[in-house]
Amino acid sequence: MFPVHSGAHTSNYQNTDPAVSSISPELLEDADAVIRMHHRKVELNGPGEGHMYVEKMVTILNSDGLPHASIRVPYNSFSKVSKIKGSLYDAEGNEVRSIKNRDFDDESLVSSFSLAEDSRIIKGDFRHPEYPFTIQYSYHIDYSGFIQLPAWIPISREKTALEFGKLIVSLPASLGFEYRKFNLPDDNESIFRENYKSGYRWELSDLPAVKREVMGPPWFQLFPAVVMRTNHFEMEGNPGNMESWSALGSWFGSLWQGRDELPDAEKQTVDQMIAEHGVTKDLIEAIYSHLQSKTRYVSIQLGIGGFQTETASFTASNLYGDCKALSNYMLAMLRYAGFDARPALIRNGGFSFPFDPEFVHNPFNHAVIAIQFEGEMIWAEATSSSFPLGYLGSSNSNRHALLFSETGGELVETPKQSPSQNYQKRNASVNLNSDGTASLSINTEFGGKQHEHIRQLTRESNIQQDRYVRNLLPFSLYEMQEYSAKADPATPSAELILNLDVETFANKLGSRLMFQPNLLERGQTYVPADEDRKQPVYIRYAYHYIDELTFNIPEEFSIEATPDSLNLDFDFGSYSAKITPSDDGRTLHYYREIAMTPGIIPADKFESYRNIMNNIWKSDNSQVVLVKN
Amino acid sequence: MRARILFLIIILSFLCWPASAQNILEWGDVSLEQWEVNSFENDENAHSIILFDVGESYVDENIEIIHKRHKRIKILNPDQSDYTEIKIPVYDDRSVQRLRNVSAQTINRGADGEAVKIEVEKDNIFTENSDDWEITSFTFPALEPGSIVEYEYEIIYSNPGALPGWTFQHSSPTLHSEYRVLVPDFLKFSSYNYGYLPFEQTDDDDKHMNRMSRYYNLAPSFANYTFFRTVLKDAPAIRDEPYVTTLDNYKNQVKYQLAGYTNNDGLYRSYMSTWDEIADELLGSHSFGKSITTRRSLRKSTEEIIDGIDDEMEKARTIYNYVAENVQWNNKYRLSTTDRAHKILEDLSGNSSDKAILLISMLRSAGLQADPVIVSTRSNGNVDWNYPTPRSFNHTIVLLQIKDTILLLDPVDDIIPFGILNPPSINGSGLLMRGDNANIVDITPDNLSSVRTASVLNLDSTGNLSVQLRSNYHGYDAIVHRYLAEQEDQQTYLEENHLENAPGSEIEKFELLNLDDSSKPLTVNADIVNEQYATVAGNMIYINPFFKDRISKNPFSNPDRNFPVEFNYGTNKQVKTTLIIPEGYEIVEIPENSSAQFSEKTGFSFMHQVAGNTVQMLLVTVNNEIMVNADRYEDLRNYYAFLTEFFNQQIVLRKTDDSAEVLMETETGQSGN
Repeated sequence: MFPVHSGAHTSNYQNTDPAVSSISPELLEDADAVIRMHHRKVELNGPGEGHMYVEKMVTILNSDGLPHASIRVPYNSFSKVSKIKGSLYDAEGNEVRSIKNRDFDDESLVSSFSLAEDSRIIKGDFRHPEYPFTIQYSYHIDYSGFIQLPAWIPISREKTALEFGKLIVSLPASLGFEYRKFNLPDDNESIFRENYKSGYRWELSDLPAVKREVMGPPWFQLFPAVVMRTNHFEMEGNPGNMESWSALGSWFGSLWQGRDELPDAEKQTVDQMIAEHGVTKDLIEAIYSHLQSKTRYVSIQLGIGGFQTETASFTASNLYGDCKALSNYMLAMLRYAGFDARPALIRNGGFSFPFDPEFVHNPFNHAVIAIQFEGEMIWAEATSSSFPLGYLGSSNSNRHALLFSETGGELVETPKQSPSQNYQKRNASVNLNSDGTASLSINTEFGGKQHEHIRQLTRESNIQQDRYVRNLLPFSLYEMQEYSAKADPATPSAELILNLDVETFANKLGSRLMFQPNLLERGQTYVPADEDRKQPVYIRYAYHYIDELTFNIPEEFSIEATPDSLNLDFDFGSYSAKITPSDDGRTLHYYREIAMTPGIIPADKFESYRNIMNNIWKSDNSQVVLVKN
Repeated sequence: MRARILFLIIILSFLCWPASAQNILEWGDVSLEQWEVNSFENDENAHSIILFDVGESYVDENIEIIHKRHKRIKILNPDQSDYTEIKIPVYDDRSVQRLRNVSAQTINRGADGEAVKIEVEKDNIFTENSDDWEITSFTFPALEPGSIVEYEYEIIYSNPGALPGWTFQHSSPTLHSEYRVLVPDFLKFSSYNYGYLPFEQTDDDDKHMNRMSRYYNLAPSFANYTFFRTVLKDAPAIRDEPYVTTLDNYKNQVKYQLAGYTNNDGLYRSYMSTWDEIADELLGSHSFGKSITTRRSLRKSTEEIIDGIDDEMEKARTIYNYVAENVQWNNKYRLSTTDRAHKILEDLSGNSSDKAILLISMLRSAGLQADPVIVSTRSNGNVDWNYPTPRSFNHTIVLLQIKDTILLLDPVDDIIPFGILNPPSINGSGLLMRGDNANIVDITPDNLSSVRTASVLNLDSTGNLSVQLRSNYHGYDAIVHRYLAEQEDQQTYLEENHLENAPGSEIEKFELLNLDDSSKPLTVNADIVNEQYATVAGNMIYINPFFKDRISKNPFSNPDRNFPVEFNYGTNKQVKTTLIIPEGYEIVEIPENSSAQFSEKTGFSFMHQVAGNTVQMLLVTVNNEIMVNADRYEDLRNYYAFLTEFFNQQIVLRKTDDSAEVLMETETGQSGN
C-alpha cells in the first residue's frame, strides 16, 4: 500500500546521492552509464486526459555513455511539456551547473518520410569535461488525448545499469487498466484501490548492465518494460474502449466510417472495370493496379489524422496519401464493386514487444487491406506501387493484424514467408582468358523478401541502377554488355541479367591465375569467439540461395588447387558448396546452396553455431588456382 | 547492335527539345516541347527533369530585396522523383526574411491535349518552425507520369546587402536555369560565378531589364539600374561521389556582394571592399573581436593554469590543452561568438569560435602573441578570396607566434594535438586578423601525416600464421585513428582497422599506446594468430603478404566524374614486412618489385628480398596530391585499379621434394623463428 500523491510532486533525487562513490561496484561492471533513478508518475483524470511526471538521474561513466546526457522529450498536439529542469554534478557529487528551460531546443520531429507531422521534440545535450559525471532532470507532460499511454522502458540503452526505477500509475477505477510487463521480476508490483481510484506501482533496483551480443536477442527481450493501456480512452472528442479487439476495432471503424464515398468519375471507372472483368479476382487485381499506377505515398500525420483516414474523394482527386488514405481509397473502390473488404492495422517492421493476443492494446503503426473473396483472404499493401496483389512484403508478413470496421475488430494473421519463398537462384558462366580477363554471363532469379530490392531497383533511374551493380560486383573495371532487371507483375519474383567483360577477373601472378569461385555471395562475416556467451542467437530471416557457376579454363592452364567441398546440415538450416572439374579438365562447376530458417539457438550452443558459420565463411572465401602448363 | 539502338534512342529523345525553343513560359502556359520532354542525355530514365528554374531579385521602393522564383519540373516518375514534395526554408525571423505568395500547381495533359491545372490548395500548404527555420512544405496533387508541376514564391529580405545568390544545378537534370538581378545604381554589387559547366552567353539582356523595370514596383527616384543575368542550360544532375568536400562546392552558382552605396548627397561609400575592412569590422564587433578580453579574472585563471611553467611554448601548450579538453564544444561551427571569453571560461561550453576566442584571450593573458584566423570548414564550402565578405566563414582558428615560430591552433576538440588543425578546418586558406591588417594565410597542412608499420608474419606448414604488428600513426592519421578508437571498443577497433583483411584472428596481445596523449604518435602493438589467412591446398600454400592497409576495392568505381576528387589530407604509408616461410617450402611466385606514379606527389613502390626462408618487403604508398581535377579522373581511377590489382597478389609456396631435410629441420626445432 502506498499513498497516491496528487498535485505537488515531492522530488526523489534528493534521496539519491549524485556522487559516484555511492554506486555499488556491481553496477559499474561493463557499464557506460548507471541510471541512478528513473521515476515516472502518471495520474489520469479521465479518458485520454492526465498528467505525467518524469524524473531521472544518470551517471555517465565514459564517452560511450554520453547519449544518456542528451535529453529528448517528444510531444505532439495532444501533449504539452513543461517545467523541464535539472542539474549536472561532478564525480564527487558537487553541482557544477543547473539545467534550465533555455538550454533546450524545441524542434519539429517530422520523420524523413513525412511531408507534415505535428510531432515535436524538446532536446538538449549536456556535457562535462571529466568523467564520470551525473545529470539529473525532471519534466511534466500534460495529456489532452491518447489511445494508449507510452510504455515505461527505464533502461533505454545497452551497457547501462539501473540503481532504482519506479513507475506509479493512478487513475479513476472506472477507467480500467491493463498491462503487460516484460523482463521484470514477479514480486515488484503493488496494486492499490481506494475511493474510486486505482493505483499501480512497480519498482526495480540494482539491475546490472547488459551488453548486447552479436546476433543476440532483439532489444525488447533483454530489457525491462511495462506496456499499459486504459479500458477507456479518448482523442479529439472520440471516446473509445479497449476491453476487446472488437471494441478497439470499432473505434477505428467509426473514425473511418463514411469516408469511403467515391466521386462519380471514379464510380464510372470502377463500373468500366466491372464491365470488363465481372466480380472476379481479376477485378480486384484491376482495382489494385489502378490504385498503384495512379497514386503515390505521401505521409501527413496531423492530430487525429494520425488515426483517421482522409476521405476517398480527397485521395481520388489529389492522388496521394499515407497508408490509411491509400488503403481507404482502394477500399472505397472495392466496396463500390461489391467486395467484402476491410482495412487492417498492423505493426510494420522489426521492432516491437512480443505480441500477446490476450492483451488488447494498440501497437499498430501501419494499415493494409484484406479482401474476403471466395473463401480466400486476399491481402494488399496500398502504399506499394508495384507489389503484386496478395504480396504484403516481408515487413508486414508473419504477424497479427486487426481487421476493423465500425461494427468491430477481429484479430487475424498475415501471410507467412517461408525460406523457400525467400529464394535467390543464380546461374552464371565465366569465360576466363589467360590474361586474367573474363566474359561473364550472370542470371539471377529472386523471390519473396529477396526480390523486393530488385523490384525497387527496376523503378530507379539508370544512374541508380548502375550504382547498384557497381556495388554488387567485386571488380571496378568492366564493360557491361547486357543489363536487365525485371520484376514479375503477377508474382513476388524478379530477375537480374548481367553480361559483362571484366578487365581483372582473376589475379595474375607469374604463371598462375587465382580467383574466388563464389563470385557474389561473400556477405557472410566471420563470427568471433565468445567464451562467455550469455544470450541466445536469433536467426531472424528465412532464405534460400542457390548459386551455380561454370568456369571455362583457358587452354594453356590446368587446375592447381580448388577448395574442398563442404556439406553441413544443422538445426537452423543447411549449406553445401562443391567444386567439380569436368572430365577433360576444361571447365569447373561450382555449386553453392544455403538455406536458413528463423529460430533461436541457446547460448550454450553458441560455439557450434560459430563453427558452422565460420566454416561457411571460410568455404565462401576460398580460391581456385590455375597454373600454366 | 544493341549499343547502336540505344544511341539512336538518345539522339531521338534529344530532338524532342531543341535548345533554341522558347523554354521559359508564363505561369500555367505549357508548350508542345515541354510536353514532349521525357529524357536527358546519359540520364535516360531520370525521375524528373527541371524544365526551367527562373529567379529574379530586385530592390523595391522600401529598399528591400524582393526575390521571386518560378520553377517548373517535368515529373516522369511520380513515385521516385525528388520534386514531388517541396520544402522552402526561410530564416525564422520576420524582420530578416519573409516568405509570401506561395503558389503551386500540377498541369496534366487532358484527353484532347489540353492543359488541366490542379492547384495546391492553401489548406495543403504546411508550415513548421524548427530550430532557427520556418519551413513551408507542400506536395503536388493528381500526379501522373508526364505531369508538369510548377511553383512560385517570393522571399523578402529586409537587408539589401542580403541579395541572394543562385544555384543552377540540382539532383535532377536542369534544362534551363536563369537568374536576373536588377538593382539601383546607388547600391553597387559585385557578382561572382562558380562551377564546372560553362554559363551561356546572353544577348537579349536589355529586353529582360526593361521588362523588370516596367513591371515591378521600383522607386521612381532610382534613376539608373544595374542588371545581371546568368543562364545555364542542359545541366546534368549532380550526385554524391566518394572524396568530395561538399557537393555545393561543385555546383554552378552565382553570388552577389554589396560593394558599396551612394548616399543622398551623391557620396559613394565603399562597403567591405577590402579584407582589411572586414577584419576591422569583425574585430570591432561584440559578437567577435570584442569577446576577446584579458580582464583580471581571466588573467588570474590563466596564471593558475600555467603556474610554474617558464617556457613560452609550454605555456601555450598547457593553455591549449586546457581549452581543448575542458571547454565543451556544442558541436556547432559558428563565426559569431555567443559570449565574452571570461563568460565562456565560466560556463565551460561554447561554439567553435567561442573556444578559439577564449584561447586567444588566455594566450594574450599569458603575454603571448595570438590572433584569430577565420576559416570556412570543408562542409561549409570554399571561400572566394576575390569576394571580401564575412558571410563565407563559419569558424575561427588561432595563429600563435612565439619568436619566429608560427603555429596554428584549433581547440574545438581535445582529440586534436597542439599545433595541428582539426581536419574540417583544412580548406585552403584563412583570413588572419592582426592589428589593422588582414592577411590571407595558407592553411594547407605540411606532410605531417604518416603511418609506419613494421610486421613479422610467421607462417607454419599447416597454414597457421602468427603476426607481430606495430604501427605508428602521425599527424592526421593519428587523429583519425584516435577518433576511430574512441568510437568503438578496443577489440572492434583493432578488428576493423588493423585486421580487416584477416577475419578470424585470435588476438594474443593488443596495446594502444598514447591514446590520450595527442602530442605523441599513436602506437598500435598487436600479436595475433590466424589459422585461415593463408590457404593450404595439397603441397601448396598461398598467402597475401599485404596483411594491412591493403586497397581491395577501387573507391572510384564510377567511370565518369565532372568535379574534382578531394582527399581529406595527404599521407605517406610505409609498411615493412618480414615473412618467415615454413621449413621445407620454397617460393614459387612472389609479386614483382614494382612502382607506379600517379603524379609527382602520389605514387607507390614495392620491393622484396628473399634470404633463406625469410622474405623482406618494403611497401611505400604516398598520397600527397589531395585535390585531383576531373580531367585527370580517369588516370586516378586507373592508378587505383592498378593498386587494387597489385594488393590482391599472393605469394605461392610449394613443399620441396627433399622431405628428409624438412623432417630433420623440424626435429631440430624452429626456435629461431
